[in-house]
Amino acid sequence: NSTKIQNGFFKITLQRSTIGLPLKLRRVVRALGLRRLQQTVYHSQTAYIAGMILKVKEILQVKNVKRIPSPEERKKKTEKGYVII
Amino acid sequence: MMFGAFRATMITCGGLLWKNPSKMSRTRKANVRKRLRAVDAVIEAVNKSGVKCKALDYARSLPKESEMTPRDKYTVFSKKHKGYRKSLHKVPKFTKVTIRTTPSGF
Repeated sequence: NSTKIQNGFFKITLQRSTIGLPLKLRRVVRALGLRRLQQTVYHSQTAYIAGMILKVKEILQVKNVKRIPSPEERKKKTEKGYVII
Repeated sequence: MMFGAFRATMITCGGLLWKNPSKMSRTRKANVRKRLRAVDAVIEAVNKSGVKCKALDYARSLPKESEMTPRDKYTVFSKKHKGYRKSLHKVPKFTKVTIRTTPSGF
């Protein structure tokens, strides 16, 4: 039952390394599109993505977002302490 | 004579010995709590998204950090130890593994 829920996306960040983890879990992280630490990736809110997240929940940070920012928006940087809304 | 993390002791003259504390320090325990809360946040985020899957049903059945007793947070079941419990830090990769429940009665 993998019907898409239209209210948003998962914003997934790799917070902890996959060193020392079993090969299967390392492959799950790679399947999510995460190659290096602190990398952020956006995915649809479906059951199979949720299952992958929960498999490696100890090393991820997950947020629900309404929309995916474009590459230009992601590149925008501000001073420390300020957030672009 | 120091070989990396090994310590030379009287008993093992000529041999090497690993020595670790039996229980965790306060900072280590604080970090255990921090990691438990981080996993809680991940499960909460997946739950809020509204998807339904078997993995999420299991994750939601796990106790949250605020619902766990200190004994459950810092020790795990061990059939070989006195009291059938050992410190969590003796578990390999304990910082990246979720162990929140113990066999009933232990």
